[in-house]
Amino acid sequence: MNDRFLYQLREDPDPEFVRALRGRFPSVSDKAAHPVAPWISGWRLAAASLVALLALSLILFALSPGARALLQSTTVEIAGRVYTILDAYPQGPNLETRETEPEIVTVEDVLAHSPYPIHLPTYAPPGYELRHDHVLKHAPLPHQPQSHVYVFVWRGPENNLSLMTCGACPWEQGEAVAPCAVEEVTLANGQPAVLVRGGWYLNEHRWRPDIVTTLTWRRDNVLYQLLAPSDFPVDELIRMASSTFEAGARQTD
Amino acid sequence: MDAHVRTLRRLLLRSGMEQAQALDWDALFQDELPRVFNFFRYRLADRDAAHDLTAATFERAWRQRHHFDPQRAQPGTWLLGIARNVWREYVRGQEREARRLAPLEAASNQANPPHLVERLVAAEEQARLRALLAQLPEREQELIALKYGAGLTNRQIAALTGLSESNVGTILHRTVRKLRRQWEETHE
Repeated sequence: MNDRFLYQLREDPDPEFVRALRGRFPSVSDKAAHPVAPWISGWRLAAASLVALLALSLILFALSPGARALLQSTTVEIAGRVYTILDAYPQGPNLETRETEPEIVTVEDVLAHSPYPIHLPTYAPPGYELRHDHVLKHAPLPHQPQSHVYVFVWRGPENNLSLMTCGACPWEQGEAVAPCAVEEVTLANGQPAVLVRGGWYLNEHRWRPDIVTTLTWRRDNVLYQLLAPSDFPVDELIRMASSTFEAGARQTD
Repeated sequence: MDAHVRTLRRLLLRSGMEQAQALDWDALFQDELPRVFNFFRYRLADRDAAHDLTAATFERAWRQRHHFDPQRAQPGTWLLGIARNVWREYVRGQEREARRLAPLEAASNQANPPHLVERLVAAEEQARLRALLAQLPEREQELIALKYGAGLTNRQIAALTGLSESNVGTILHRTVRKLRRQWEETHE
Protein backbone atom coordinates (compact mmCIF):
# COMPACT_ATOMS: atom_id res chain seq x y z
CA MET A 1 0.00 0.00 0.00
CA ASN A 2 1.52 3.31 -1.06
CA ASP A 3 0.95 5.64 1.85
CA ARG A 4 4.00 7.86 1.56
CA PHE A 5 1.87 10.86 0.74
CA LEU A 6 0.40 10.68 4.22
CA TYR A 7 3.73 11.45 5.88
CA GLN A 8 4.07 14.88 4.34
CA LEU A 9 2.27 16.62 7.19
CA ARG A 10 4.93 15.71 9.70
CA GLU A 11 6.76 18.68 11.11
CA ASP A 12 9.08 19.54 13.93
CA PRO A 13 7.74 21.77 16.68
CA ASP A 14 9.28 25.22 16.89
CA PRO A 15 12.63 25.08 18.74
CA GLU A 16 11.65 28.08 20.88
CA PHE A 17 8.48 26.29 21.87
CA VAL A 18 10.43 23.16 22.84
CA ARG A 19 12.86 25.18 24.93
CA ALA A 20 10.10 27.11 26.65
CA LEU A 21 8.09 24.00 27.38
CA ARG A 22 11.12 22.13 28.72
CA GLY A 23 11.77 25.04 31.03
CA ARG A 24 8.37 24.62 32.66
CA PHE A 25 9.39 21.30 34.17
CA PRO A 26 12.17 21.13 36.74
CA SER A 27 15.25 19.49 35.40
CA VAL A 28 15.83 16.14 37.02
CA SER A 29 19.21 17.29 38.27
CA ASP A 30 17.60 20.36 39.83
CA LYS A 31 15.69 18.16 42.21
CA ALA A 32 18.86 17.50 44.15
CA ALA A 33 18.30 20.83 45.84
CA HIS A 34 15.11 19.65 47.48
CA PRO A 35 15.02 21.59 50.71
CA VAL A 36 13.72 18.81 52.90
CA ALA A 37 15.64 15.63 53.54
CA PRO A 38 13.32 12.96 52.21
CA TRP A 39 13.46 10.80 55.28
CA ILE A 40 12.45 13.48 57.71
CA SER A 41 8.82 13.69 56.77
CA GLY A 42 8.65 9.92 56.55
CA TRP A 43 9.98 9.45 60.09
CA ARG A 44 7.73 12.07 61.57
CA LEU A 45 4.79 10.58 59.82
CA ALA A 46 5.83 7.11 60.89
CA ALA A 47 5.96 8.19 64.51
CA ALA A 48 2.64 9.96 64.23
CA SER A 49 1.06 7.00 62.55
CA LEU A 50 2.32 4.61 65.21
CA VAL A 51 0.72 6.74 67.88
CA ALA A 52 -2.47 6.96 65.87
CA LEU A 53 -2.45 3.24 65.24
CA LEU A 54 -1.94 2.53 68.92
CA ALA A 55 -4.87 4.73 69.87
CA LEU A 56 -7.02 3.28 67.14
CA SER A 57 -6.17 -0.29 68.07
CA LEU A 58 -7.11 0.33 71.71
CA ILE A 59 -10.50 1.63 70.59
CA LEU A 60 -11.05 -1.21 68.17
CA PHE A 61 -9.98 -3.83 70.68
CA ALA A 62 -12.57 -2.51 73.02
CA LEU A 63 -15.31 -2.40 70.42
CA SER A 64 -15.05 -5.13 67.87
CA PRO A 65 -13.99 -8.80 67.84
CA GLY A 66 -13.55 -8.54 64.07
CA ALA A 67 -11.28 -5.57 64.42
CA ARG A 68 -9.26 -7.44 67.05
CA ALA A 69 -8.78 -10.29 64.62
CA LEU A 70 -7.65 -7.87 61.96
CA LEU A 71 -5.08 -6.32 64.20
CA GLN A 72 -3.74 -9.63 65.38
CA SER A 73 -1.45 -10.04 62.43
CA THR A 74 1.11 -12.82 62.53
CA THR A 75 4.82 -12.66 61.98
CA VAL A 76 7.10 -15.08 60.21
CA GLU A 77 10.88 -15.33 60.21
CA ILE A 78 12.49 -15.87 56.84
CA ALA A 79 16.26 -15.99 56.50
CA GLY A 80 16.59 -14.15 59.77
CA ARG A 81 14.18 -11.40 58.75
CA VAL A 82 10.87 -11.02 60.51
CA TYR A 83 7.91 -10.29 58.24
CA THR A 84 4.46 -9.22 59.32
CA ILE A 85 1.74 -11.12 57.51
CA LEU A 86 -1.32 -9.03 56.80
CA ASP A 87 -4.56 -9.91 55.10
CA ALA A 88 -5.41 -6.30 54.35
CA TYR A 89 -3.66 -3.15 53.20
CA PRO A 90 -1.53 -1.75 56.02
CA GLN A 91 -3.34 1.09 57.65
CA GLY A 92 -1.63 4.30 58.59
CA PRO A 93 -1.25 7.73 57.09
CA ASN A 94 2.47 7.33 56.49
CA LEU A 95 1.81 4.95 53.66
CA GLU A 96 0.15 7.65 51.67
CA THR A 97 1.87 10.89 52.26
CA ARG A 98 5.53 10.84 51.42
CA GLU A 99 6.34 12.51 48.14
CA THR A 100 9.97 13.56 47.78
CA GLU A 101 12.31 13.67 44.87
CA PRO A 102 15.64 11.87 44.77
CA GLU A 103 18.83 13.26 43.34
CA ILE A 104 20.04 11.76 40.08
CA VAL A 105 23.71 10.81 40.15
CA THR A 106 26.00 8.58 38.15
CA VAL A 107 27.22 5.11 39.06
CA GLU A 108 30.72 6.50 39.20
CA ASP A 109 29.62 9.15 41.70
CA VAL A 110 28.11 6.50 43.91
CA LEU A 111 31.11 4.21 43.74
CA ALA A 112 33.40 7.10 44.59
CA HIS A 113 31.39 8.68 47.40
CA SER A 114 29.04 6.16 48.96
CA PRO A 115 29.53 6.10 52.74
CA TYR A 116 29.12 2.32 52.78
CA PRO A 117 30.50 -0.42 50.51
CA ILE A 118 28.35 -1.31 47.54
CA HIS A 119 28.97 -4.40 45.45
CA LEU A 120 27.23 -4.13 42.12
CA PRO A 121 26.25 -7.32 40.31
CA THR A 122 28.76 -8.56 37.77
CA TYR A 123 25.95 -10.36 35.99
CA ALA A 124 22.97 -8.84 34.29
CA PRO A 125 20.35 -10.80 32.35
CA PRO A 126 20.80 -10.72 28.58
CA GLY A 127 19.57 -7.46 27.10
CA TYR A 128 19.77 -5.55 30.38
CA GLU A 129 22.29 -2.75 30.79
CA LEU A 130 23.14 -0.72 33.84
CA ARG A 131 22.24 2.93 33.42
CA HIS A 132 25.46 4.62 34.41
CA ASP A 133 23.96 8.09 34.29
CA HIS A 134 20.83 7.44 36.29
CA VAL A 135 21.13 6.36 39.91
CA LEU A 136 18.57 7.66 42.37
CA LYS A 137 20.17 8.95 45.53
CA HIS A 138 17.90 9.56 48.47
CA ALA A 139 19.14 11.96 51.09
CA PRO A 140 20.20 10.47 54.42
CA LEU A 141 18.86 11.13 57.83
CA PRO A 142 20.63 13.96 59.58
CA HIS A 143 23.90 12.79 61.17
CA GLN A 144 23.42 9.31 59.73
CA PRO A 145 25.26 9.08 56.42
CA GLN A 146 24.80 5.32 56.27
CA SER A 147 21.11 5.89 55.65
CA HIS A 148 21.78 6.97 52.09
CA VAL A 149 19.64 4.88 49.79
CA TYR A 150 20.69 4.37 46.19
CA VAL A 151 18.57 2.87 43.44
CA PHE A 152 20.45 1.53 40.41
CA VAL A 153 18.56 0.79 37.21
CA TRP A 154 19.21 -1.81 34.53
CA ARG A 155 17.34 -0.93 31.37
CA GLY A 156 15.93 -3.90 29.48
CA PRO A 157 14.14 -4.41 26.21
CA GLU A 158 10.66 -4.25 27.71
CA ASN A 159 11.13 -3.34 31.34
CA ASN A 160 13.76 -2.38 33.85
CA LEU A 161 15.33 -3.88 36.94
CA SER A 162 16.02 -1.77 40.01
CA LEU A 163 18.53 -2.47 42.76
CA MET A 164 18.24 -0.59 46.01
CA THR A 165 21.07 -0.45 48.50
CA CYS A 166 20.81 0.77 52.05
CA GLY A 167 23.60 0.96 54.61
CA ALA A 168 21.41 1.61 57.63
CA CYS A 169 18.47 -0.69 57.15
CA PRO A 170 18.28 -3.40 59.79
CA TRP A 171 18.29 -6.88 58.34
CA GLU A 172 16.13 -8.35 61.05
CA GLN A 173 13.06 -6.24 60.44
CA GLY A 174 11.23 -7.15 57.26
CA GLU A 175 8.21 -5.36 55.95
CA ALA A 176 4.51 -6.21 56.01
CA VAL A 177 3.54 -8.67 53.31
CA ALA A 178 0.51 -10.64 52.23
CA PRO A 179 0.12 -14.31 53.18
CA CYS A 180 2.10 -16.74 51.03
CA ALA A 181 4.01 -13.88 49.39
CA VAL A 182 7.37 -14.44 51.03
CA GLU A 183 9.85 -17.33 50.79
CA GLU A 184 13.51 -18.04 51.45
CA VAL A 185 15.86 -18.73 48.57
CA THR A 186 19.58 -19.47 48.53
CA LEU A 187 22.15 -17.58 46.52
CA ALA A 188 24.99 -19.34 44.74
CA ASN A 189 27.39 -18.96 47.64
CA GLY A 190 24.93 -20.38 50.15
CA GLN A 191 23.86 -17.00 51.42
CA PRO A 192 20.14 -16.87 52.28
CA ALA A 193 17.93 -14.32 50.59
CA VAL A 194 14.24 -13.49 50.69
CA LEU A 195 11.91 -13.50 47.74
CA VAL A 196 8.70 -11.47 47.99
CA ARG A 197 6.15 -11.81 45.23
CA GLY A 198 4.03 -8.71 44.88
CA GLY A 199 3.62 -5.47 46.73
CA TRP A 200 1.06 -3.21 48.34
CA TYR A 201 -0.46 -1.33 45.47
CA LEU A 202 -0.92 2.25 46.50
CA ASN A 203 -3.58 3.11 43.96
CA GLU A 204 -5.86 0.23 44.87
CA HIS A 205 -5.00 -0.33 48.54
CA ARG A 206 -4.42 -4.03 48.14
CA TRP A 207 -1.63 -6.54 47.67
CA ARG A 208 -0.99 -7.29 44.04
CA PRO A 209 1.21 -10.28 43.23
CA ASP A 210 1.38 -9.28 39.59
CA ILE A 211 3.25 -6.00 39.82
CA VAL A 212 6.68 -6.75 41.24
CA THR A 213 8.99 -9.39 42.62
CA THR A 214 11.59 -8.40 45.21
CA LEU A 215 14.74 -10.27 46.14
CA THR A 216 16.44 -9.10 49.34
CA TRP A 217 19.85 -10.06 50.67
CA ARG A 218 22.72 -8.48 52.52
CA ARG A 219 26.44 -8.25 52.31
CA ASP A 220 28.71 -6.48 54.78
CA ASN A 221 25.66 -5.24 56.69
CA VAL A 222 24.37 -3.49 53.59
CA LEU A 223 20.84 -4.36 52.53
CA TYR A 224 20.22 -5.00 48.84
CA GLN A 225 16.78 -5.23 47.26
CA LEU A 226 16.39 -6.16 43.63
CA LEU A 227 13.04 -5.33 42.04
CA ALA A 228 11.76 -6.86 38.84
CA PRO A 229 8.45 -7.30 37.06
CA SER A 230 6.49 -10.17 38.51
CA ASP A 231 6.94 -12.36 35.44
CA PHE A 232 10.71 -11.96 35.44
CA PRO A 233 12.54 -15.31 35.89
CA VAL A 234 13.46 -15.79 39.53
CA ASP A 235 16.59 -17.78 38.70
CA GLU A 236 17.89 -14.76 36.80
CA LEU A 237 17.32 -12.56 39.84
CA ILE A 238 19.15 -15.06 42.03
CA ARG A 239 22.02 -15.23 39.57
CA MET A 240 22.24 -11.45 39.52
CA ALA A 241 22.19 -11.26 43.32
CA SER A 242 24.77 -14.02 43.61
CA SER A 243 27.13 -12.12 41.37
CA THR A 244 27.43 -9.37 43.98
CA PHE A 245 29.56 -11.85 45.96
CA GLU A 246 31.92 -12.58 43.08
CA ALA A 247 35.44 -11.30 43.25
CA GLY A 248 35.00 -8.91 40.36
CA ALA A 249 31.96 -7.15 41.77
CA ARG A 250 32.44 -3.39 41.52
CA GLN A 251 32.49 -1.78 44.87
CA THR A 252 33.00 1.50 46.59
CA ASP A 253 36.38 2.49 47.87
CA MET B 1 5.39 -3.77 61.63
CA ASP B 2 8.47 -1.64 61.28
CA ALA B 3 7.71 1.80 59.96
CA HIS B 4 11.25 2.39 58.78
CA VAL B 5 11.33 -0.62 56.53
CA ARG B 6 7.80 0.02 55.45
CA THR B 7 8.77 3.53 54.46
CA LEU B 8 11.73 2.11 52.60
CA ARG B 9 9.62 -0.27 50.64
CA ARG B 10 7.16 2.42 49.77
CA LEU B 11 9.98 4.66 48.71
CA LEU B 12 11.42 1.91 46.59
CA LEU B 13 8.12 1.10 44.99
CA ARG B 14 7.31 4.71 44.28
CA SER B 15 10.74 6.05 43.46
CA GLY B 16 12.46 2.99 42.19
CA MET B 17 9.71 1.46 40.17
CA GLU B 18 7.48 4.32 39.24
CA GLN B 19 10.00 7.06 38.68
CA ALA B 20 13.28 5.47 37.77
CA GLN B 21 12.07 2.38 36.07
CA ALA B 22 8.87 3.49 34.57
CA LEU B 23 9.04 7.13 33.74
CA ASP B 24 12.24 8.77 32.69
CA TRP B 25 10.84 12.25 32.21
CA ASP B 26 13.79 13.61 30.26
CA ALA B 27 13.67 10.69 27.85
CA LEU B 28 9.91 10.94 27.61
CA PHE B 29 10.09 14.63 26.76
CA GLN B 30 12.80 14.20 24.18
CA ASP B 31 11.40 11.09 22.50
CA GLU B 32 7.71 11.79 22.60
CA LEU B 33 7.39 15.52 22.04
CA PRO B 34 7.53 15.22 18.22
CA ARG B 35 5.01 12.38 18.31
CA VAL B 36 2.55 14.30 20.42
CA PHE B 37 3.03 17.45 18.39
CA ASN B 38 2.40 15.61 15.13
CA PHE B 39 -0.59 13.81 16.59
CA PHE B 40 -2.14 17.24 16.99
CA ARG B 41 -0.64 18.58 13.79
CA TYR B 42 -2.41 15.93 11.77
CA ARG B 43 -5.66 17.13 13.22
CA LEU B 44 -5.12 20.87 13.17
CA ALA B 45 -4.17 23.24 10.42
CA ASP B 46 -3.33 25.77 13.09
CA ARG B 47 0.28 25.17 14.09
CA ASP B 48 0.02 27.40 17.14
CA ALA B 49 -2.94 25.42 18.40
CA ALA B 50 -0.93 22.21 17.97
CA HIS B 51 1.79 23.77 20.09
CA ASP B 52 -0.75 24.73 22.74
CA LEU B 53 -2.27 21.27 22.93
CA THR B 54 1.19 19.67 23.04
CA ALA B 55 2.06 21.88 25.98
CA ALA B 56 -1.23 21.03 27.70
CA THR B 57 -0.50 17.33 27.25
CA PHE B 58 2.94 17.51 28.81
CA GLU B 59 1.77 19.69 31.66
CA ARG B 60 -0.95 17.19 32.50
CA ALA B 61 1.49 14.30 32.19
CA TRP B 62 3.88 16.04 34.57
CA ARG B 63 1.13 16.41 37.15
CA GLN B 64 0.05 12.80 36.72
CA ARG B 65 3.50 11.22 36.41
CA HIS B 66 3.29 9.49 39.78
CA HIS B 67 0.15 7.69 38.65
CA PHE B 68 1.87 6.15 35.66
CA ASP B 69 1.73 2.36 35.87
CA PRO B 70 4.35 0.59 33.75
CA GLN B 71 2.36 -2.60 33.97
CA ARG B 72 -0.46 -1.02 32.05
CA ALA B 73 1.21 0.99 29.32
CA GLN B 74 4.45 2.05 27.77
CA PRO B 75 5.35 5.66 28.59
CA GLY B 76 4.72 6.84 25.03
CA THR B 77 1.35 5.13 24.87
CA TRP B 78 0.40 6.56 28.25
CA LEU B 79 1.34 10.04 27.07
CA LEU B 80 -0.68 9.73 23.87
CA GLY B 81 -3.62 8.58 25.97
CA ILE B 82 -3.37 11.92 27.74
CA ALA B 83 -3.05 13.66 24.38
CA ARG B 84 -6.28 12.03 23.23
CA ASN B 85 -8.07 13.34 26.31
CA VAL B 86 -6.65 16.80 25.74
CA TRP B 87 -7.87 16.63 22.16
CA ARG B 88 -11.36 15.55 23.16
CA GLU B 89 -11.62 18.39 25.63
CA TYR B 90 -10.37 20.81 23.03
CA VAL B 91 -12.93 19.65 20.50
CA ARG B 92 -15.72 19.75 23.04
CA GLY B 93 -14.67 23.06 24.37
CA GLN B 94 -14.46 25.87 21.92
CA GLU B 95 -14.01 27.08 18.41
CA ARG B 96 -14.29 23.61 17.10
CA GLU B 97 -15.11 24.44 13.53
CA ALA B 98 -12.88 27.48 13.42
CA ARG B 99 -9.73 25.65 14.42
CA ARG B 100 -10.09 22.12 13.11
CA LEU B 101 -8.52 21.54 9.74
CA ALA B 102 -9.05 24.93 8.26
CA PRO B 103 -9.99 25.15 4.57
CA LEU B 104 -7.39 24.92 1.88
CA GLU B 105 -6.99 28.65 1.32
CA ALA B 106 -6.47 29.43 4.98
CA ALA B 107 -3.95 26.68 5.48
CA SER B 108 -1.88 27.62 2.48
CA ASN B 109 -1.81 31.21 3.54
CA GLN B 110 -0.45 30.26 6.94
CA ALA B 111 2.51 28.29 5.72
CA ASN B 112 3.63 30.33 2.74
CA PRO B 113 7.00 31.81 2.21
CA PRO B 114 5.69 33.30 -1.07
CA HIS B 115 9.07 33.73 -2.70
CA LEU B 116 9.82 30.00 -2.68
CA VAL B 117 7.90 28.18 -5.35
CA GLU B 118 8.78 24.74 -4.03
CA ARG B 119 7.53 25.47 -0.58
CA LEU B 120 4.43 27.04 -1.96
CA VAL B 121 3.66 23.88 -3.86
CA ALA B 122 4.37 21.81 -0.78
CA ALA B 123 2.06 23.97 1.29
CA GLU B 124 -0.70 23.57 -1.23
CA GLU B 125 -0.27 19.83 -1.25
CA GLN B 126 -0.38 19.75 2.51
CA ALA B 127 -3.50 21.83 2.48
CA ARG B 128 -5.12 19.46 0.02
CA LEU B 129 -4.24 16.54 2.22
CA ARG B 130 -5.63 18.30 5.29
CA ALA B 131 -8.82 18.93 3.42
CA LEU B 132 -9.08 15.25 2.60
CA LEU B 133 -8.39 14.27 6.20
CA ALA B 134 -11.00 16.72 7.41
CA GLN B 135 -13.66 14.83 5.52
CA LEU B 136 -12.95 11.59 7.31
CA PRO B 137 -15.07 10.42 10.23
CA GLU B 138 -13.65 11.21 13.67
CA ARG B 139 -12.40 7.69 14.33
CA GLU B 140 -10.54 7.47 11.03
CA GLN B 141 -9.04 10.91 11.57
CA GLU B 142 -7.73 9.81 14.92
CA LEU B 143 -6.26 6.58 13.60
CA ILE B 144 -4.48 8.45 10.80
CA ALA B 145 -3.10 10.95 13.30
CA LEU B 146 -1.88 8.18 15.59
CA LYS B 147 -0.37 6.17 12.73
CA TYR B 148 1.18 8.86 10.54
CA GLY B 149 1.45 11.76 12.96
CA ALA B 150 2.51 10.03 16.16
CA GLY B 151 4.12 7.11 14.36
CA LEU B 152 2.50 4.39 16.46
CA THR B 153 2.30 0.77 15.39
CA ASN B 154 -1.08 -0.86 14.87
CA ARG B 155 -0.56 -2.74 18.13
CA GLN B 156 0.09 0.46 20.06
CA ILE B 157 -2.94 2.08 18.49
CA ALA B 158 -5.03 -0.92 19.45
CA ALA B 159 -3.84 -0.69 23.06
CA LEU B 160 -4.67 2.99 23.13
CA THR B 161 -8.06 2.95 21.46
CA GLY B 162 -9.46 -0.35 22.66
CA LEU B 163 -9.86 -1.61 19.12
CA SER B 164 -8.37 -4.96 18.16
CA GLU B 165 -5.09 -4.88 16.28
CA SER B 166 -6.65 -6.49 13.23
CA ASN B 167 -9.49 -4.00 13.34
CA VAL B 168 -7.03 -1.13 13.43
CA GLY B 169 -5.21 -2.61 10.45
CA THR B 170 -8.41 -3.07 8.50
CA ILE B 171 -9.70 0.44 9.17
CA LEU B 172 -6.37 2.01 8.33
CA HIS B 173 -6.02 0.00 5.15
CA ARG B 174 -9.48 0.99 4.01
CA THR B 175 -8.96 4.63 4.94
CA VAL B 176 -5.58 4.93 3.28
CA ARG B 177 -6.91 3.33 0.12
CA LYS B 178 -9.77 5.80 0.05
CA LEU B 179 -7.46 8.73 0.71
CA ARG B 180 -5.06 7.52 -1.94
CA ARG B 181 -7.81 7.40 -4.51
CA GLN B 182 -9.01 10.88 -3.62
CA TRP B 183 -5.46 12.15 -3.57
CA GLU B 184 -4.84 10.90 -7.08
CA GLU B 185 -8.17 12.23 -8.30
CA THR B 186 -7.38 15.71 -7.09
CA HIS B 187 -4.02 15.50 -8.85
CA GLU B 188 -5.51 14.76 -12.22
